[in-house]
Amino acid sequence: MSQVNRLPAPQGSLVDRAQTVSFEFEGQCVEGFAGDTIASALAASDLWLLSRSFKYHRPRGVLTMAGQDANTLVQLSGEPNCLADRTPISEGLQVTGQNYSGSLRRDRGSLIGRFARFLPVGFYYHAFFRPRGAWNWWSAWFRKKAGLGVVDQSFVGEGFDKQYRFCDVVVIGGGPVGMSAAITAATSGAEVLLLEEHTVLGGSLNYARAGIDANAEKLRRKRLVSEVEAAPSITVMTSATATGWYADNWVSVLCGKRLHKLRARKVVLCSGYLEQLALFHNNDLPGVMMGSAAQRLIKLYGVQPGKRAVVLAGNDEAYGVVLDLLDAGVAVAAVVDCRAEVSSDERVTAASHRGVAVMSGHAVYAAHGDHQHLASVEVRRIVGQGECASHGERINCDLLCVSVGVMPAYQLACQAGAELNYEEQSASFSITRLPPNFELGEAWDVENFPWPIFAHPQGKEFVDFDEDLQIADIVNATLAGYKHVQLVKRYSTCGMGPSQGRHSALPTARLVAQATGTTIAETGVTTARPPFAPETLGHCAGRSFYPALRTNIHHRHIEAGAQMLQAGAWYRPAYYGDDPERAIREEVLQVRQSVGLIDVSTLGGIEVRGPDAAEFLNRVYTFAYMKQAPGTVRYALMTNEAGVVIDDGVVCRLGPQHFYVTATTGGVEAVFRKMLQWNAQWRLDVVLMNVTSAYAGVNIVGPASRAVLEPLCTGFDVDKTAFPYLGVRRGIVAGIPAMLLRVGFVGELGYEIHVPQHCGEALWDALMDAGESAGIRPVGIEAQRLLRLEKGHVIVGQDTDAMSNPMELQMQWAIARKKDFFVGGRSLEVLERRPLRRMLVGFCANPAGSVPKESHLIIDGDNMIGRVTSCAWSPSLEKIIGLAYVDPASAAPGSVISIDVDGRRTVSAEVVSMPFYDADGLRQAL
Amino acid sequence: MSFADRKQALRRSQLYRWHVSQGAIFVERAGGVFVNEYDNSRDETSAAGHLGLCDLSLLPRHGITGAGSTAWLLAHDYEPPQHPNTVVTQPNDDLLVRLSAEEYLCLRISKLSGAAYDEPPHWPGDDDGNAYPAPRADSHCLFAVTGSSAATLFSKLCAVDLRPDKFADGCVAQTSVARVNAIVIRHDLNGTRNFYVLTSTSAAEYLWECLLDAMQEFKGMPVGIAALQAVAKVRA
Repeated sequence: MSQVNRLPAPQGSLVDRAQTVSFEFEGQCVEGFAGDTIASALAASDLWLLSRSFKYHRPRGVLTMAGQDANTLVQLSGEPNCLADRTPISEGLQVTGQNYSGSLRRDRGSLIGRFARFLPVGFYYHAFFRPRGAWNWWSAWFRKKAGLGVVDQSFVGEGFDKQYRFCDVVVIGGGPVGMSAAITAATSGAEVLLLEEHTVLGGSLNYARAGIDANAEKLRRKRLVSEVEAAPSITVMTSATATGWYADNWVSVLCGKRLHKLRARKVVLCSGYLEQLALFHNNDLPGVMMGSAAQRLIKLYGVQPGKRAVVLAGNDEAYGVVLDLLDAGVAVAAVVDCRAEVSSDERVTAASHRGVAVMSGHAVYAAHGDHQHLASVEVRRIVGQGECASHGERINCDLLCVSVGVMPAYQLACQAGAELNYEEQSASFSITRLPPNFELGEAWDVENFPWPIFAHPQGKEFVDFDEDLQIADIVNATLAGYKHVQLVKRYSTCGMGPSQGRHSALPTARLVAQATGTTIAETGVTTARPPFAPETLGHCAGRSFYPALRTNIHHRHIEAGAQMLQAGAWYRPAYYGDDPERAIREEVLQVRQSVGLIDVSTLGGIEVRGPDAAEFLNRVYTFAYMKQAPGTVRYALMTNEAGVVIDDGVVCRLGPQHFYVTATTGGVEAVFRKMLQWNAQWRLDVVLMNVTSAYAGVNIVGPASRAVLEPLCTGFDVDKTAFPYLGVRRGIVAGIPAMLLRVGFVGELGYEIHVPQHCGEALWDALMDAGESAGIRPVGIEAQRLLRLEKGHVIVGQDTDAMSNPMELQMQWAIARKKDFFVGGRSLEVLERRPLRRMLVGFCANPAGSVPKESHLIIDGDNMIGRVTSCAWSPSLEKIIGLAYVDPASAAPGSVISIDVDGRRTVSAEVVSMPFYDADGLRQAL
Repeated sequence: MSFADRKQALRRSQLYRWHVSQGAIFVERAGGVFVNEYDNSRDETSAAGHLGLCDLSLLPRHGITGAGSTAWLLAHDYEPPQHPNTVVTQPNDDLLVRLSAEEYLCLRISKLSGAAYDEPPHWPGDDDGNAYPAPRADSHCLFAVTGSSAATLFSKLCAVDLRPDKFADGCVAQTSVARVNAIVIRHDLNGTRNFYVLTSTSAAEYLWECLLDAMQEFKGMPVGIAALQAVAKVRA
C-alpha cells in the first residue's frame, strides 16, 4: 500500500522524493516524502479516512487540502486538533484520529447517527432539565463527549514568543494578486511585508489552471516570484497567517511559534477566494472534495486523488480541474454541470475534445459510499431552484470534485469595517465600503452557480461540517423563530466550529433568505470576528510581562528570612521568619518596646516646586498649606471631585517654594496623574516630579530609635527640641545625604529617612549595625499594619472604599474650612448637610473569641448595618481590635455590635473611642 | 579595592548581586561600582558589536525641569537639543537629552573613563529661578543595549519602531518596554548601534531579566564597560 497513489514528477512541487519520511497513523506505519502534510502522505498511501465528525461521528476525509476545514483535525502526541492538511510529516510522528470510540474505522459513536431524527437543531435547549436534577447526570455525560482532541496534561511547555513588526504596506496573500500588489507598492517606494499562509509563494498559481496550457501558471509564478525576490523593499513571510485586524491597521500574524504584532500604514488584502460546498445527500463522504483540493493533491504533493472521478461543475474553473485530473491519469466519468448551458471557455472545449461526457443542467443529488468512502453518485436533472427530477442515473466513482462557486475571504476586511454585498447576477458576495488605508487586491471573476443546494428526503446534506448541520436544521431554526442570520447562528451553532463558517456562511445565507422570504443581500452573513485561523494557547500566552518592583533593600529582606508578598507590582516583606503569628507579634512588641526598622521605599514621593507650589497643594489636598512653615510636616488627605477619599500622605515643606509630598504605595501613580491633570486646567506656576523611585526610605521606629540614630547623624540634631514631631530635616546619615521626617503612622517615636535609592541598602546596614546593641530587628508590613491599627490610623483602600468621605471616617479635622477651594470641597459641603449613612468606628471584642476578618458583616437582627475593614489581635493591648463601618445609630462609644464571622456564629464587640493606643499621642511626640 | 564587601561601596547597582553571581570583575568609575568585564572566556567586545547588555546604572546623570530650563542651559554653555525627544552630544562628550519642551536629562557619559567622581556639573540648585534639579541619578537605572541585533531585540519588548532607518541616531522614545515605563535613547557608539534604556530603579532587576531572556534568541550576552569602551573607542 505504500504510496500507491503517488504520481511521478513533475507533479508534487512541494515534496522531495529523495527523502522518505515514516510516521504512524492510528498505529500503522505510513511513508511519505519530506514536504508532505499528514493528509497528503495518507492520501498517497490510499488512506482517506482522517477523522470523525463532531455530532454524528460521520467519517470525514480531505475536503480543501488548505487547512480551511475541520475534517482534517487530528491528534498528535502532545497536541490536539492539528490540521492534517497543513501539518508537515516528520520522522516518527505519531498521529491518531479524534472523537471516536473504539477505532477510527469502527467508531461506536457513529451509532448516534441512527438517532439523528431525535436530535434536531437546538434539541439540547429543550431537553435534559427534567426531572429536577437530571441535568447533573446529563452534564457529566456531555462533558465527556464534548470536544474533539485530548489535551496532554503532562505536556511540557515550549517557548512561544511575540514580536512587534512594522511596515508601510502589508500585503496579505502571496498569490498572483498579492505578489503583483507587493511589486507595485515596492515600486512606489513603500516598505512592503508580503504574507503567505502556505509554505511557498504562488497561491492559486501553484495548483489551479486558468487555461489549457498546463505550464502557464508555472511560468507566471516564476516571473512574479523573481520580481518579488529582486525587490529589496519586499520582505516575505511564508507560513504566516494574518488572523485578525484591529484598530489602526494592527494585524496579528501567526508564524511558527511567534505572534507578530504588526502595525502597517496600509493593508492590501489579497487572500482570494474560498471554494464552496454543494449541498446534496452525503456530501461529506470521504472522496467528495473541492476541485481545488484535488488540484492541490496532484500538483503540490503528487498524489492521485482517485481513480475514477465525477466533477460537479457550476463554473468554468471546474473544467480546469477536469484537465488536471486527466493529466494525472484519473478517469473522468462525467462532468455534471449545474448550468443549463456550458460556456465556450477553452477549458470546456478541451475537456470535450478529450472525450469527457458533460451533463449540463444536472446535479449530484446524492453520494453513496462503500467502506466509508465514495463509491457512486446519483445524478439528476435540475428542474427548478434546488429541485431535481424524481429519477436519475448512478455513476460509479471514487472521487467527486465539487467546483460550483467561491466566497471571498472577507473576514479580515469585515473586521476592519468593510461590508459584504450580495450581487444576484453573479450569485456571489463582494467586499464593499472599505475603510481608509485598507485595499483589496485586484480580483478576478469567478462564476458562482446560484443555488447548488439540493435537499434530500433523508437529509444528510450538510451545510456545516463542523457541527453536522443539515439543510433542515437551518430551516427549522428559522421556523423556531430565529429568523435573523445572527440568531440562526446562535441557535444552531452554525459557523461556530473550527472552520468558522468559511463554507457554511454562503449556503446559510441562501437558506435563511429563502426560509424567511428575504433576499440574500438583506440576510447577509454573520459577524467574522478574530481570529480568522486557529490560535494556540501558546501563541496567546507567549512572551508575557509581569512587572515586579523591588526596593534597594530587597535582598537584605530575603537574607533576613522575610516572607515576601507582592503588593501591586512591589515586593514587600510581610514578616520575618516562618511562623507568621509569632513573627508579627514579636515585631509589634519590638517597635513598642525598643526599636525596629521598616522599609518604606515603596511609599510614593512627589516633589512640588515653584512659586505656586503652596497654592497648588492647597487645592489638591483638604488641609491648608499656605502658612505651613518650612521644616514641618502636615497630614495630607486627598478627595476627588465627588468628595471621596482617594489617597493620603504627608506634605513636607522643604523651602518656600519646595514641597515633598508622600502618597500611598498603590496610589502614587494615580495621584501624580491627577495632579498633572488638574494643573493642566489651573495653569499654576508649579513643577511636579514623581520621585518615588529616586529615594529609598527606612522608618526607624520605637522608643530607642533616637538613641540608635543619633550617632550616625551629621549636620543636624535629632533631639526633641531641635527636631520635634512633625518636623522634616535634611542632613547626612551614615555618610549618606538624607531627608528625615518625624511622623507617627505607627504611633511611636520614629524617623522616616529618605536617601538616594542606590544608598538604601547602605543606610539599612548602617542602622542595623548601630542598633545591634538595642536589639534592633526588621519589621514587616503586617506588623506595620497592626501597629497603625492600634493607633487608629486608616489605610486608604483598605478602610475606605469608592464611597468613603472624610465625615464617615471622622476626619473632619483634616479639612481646612477657610480655604476658597480644594478638589472635592463643594461636594463635601453638600454631603455635610445630609445625615451620615455610615461611620467608621473602632471596636474591641472579647480576646477569647474568634477574630473577625476584613469584610465580615455587622448585623442587627436580620439587617446588615456595616462591615469590618480591619481587625486583628493586638499584642500591645492583648485584645481584639478593629475598624468597621456601622450605622450612625450604633457609632457611639459603648454601643454593642454583632459581627457575623462565618454565617452561623456572631462575635459581640463594643464600639470604643479611638485611638486604641496612646490616646494622647505622647509616645510619637517623645 | 574589593567591591565584594558591601560596606566598602556606598553606591551599588540594584543588579550588584547578579553581577557577582556571574563572576563580574568590578571597576570604580565616577564614584560608582561598574562591571568592567565578566570572568569568563567570552569575547565581550565582539558580543557588544552583535548584541550586548551593559549595566550603567551608576553613571552620573542629572535632570533639570521647569519653565526656565532651556534658558538656564543656554546661559551655562550647554547645547540643548532643538526638539523634544532628541539627544545632542555636548562638547565634553556628555549627552543632553530633551525630554519635553522644558525638561532635560544629562547623561555624563564622559565620566565612564574617569576613575574618580570629580566635580559635579554646573547644575541648578534648589533656588535657581524656575529651573529645578530632578533626581535622575537614582530614580532610574541605566542600561546600554548595543550591537547590530539591538533593534530586533527591542521589537520583542517595545511597541515603538526602533529599526535603524526609522529611529535615527539621536532619537529618544519615552515609551513602555516590557510593560514598564522607559526612556530609550539611540546613541550609536562609533558606528555600532547602541540604545540607552532608562527605567525605574525599582524595575532594574525585572527589566534586566526581560532583556536577558529576550536576547537569548540572538545569542546576546551581558558585557562590562570595557567592551562598551572598546566598541566606542572612548578615551581610556
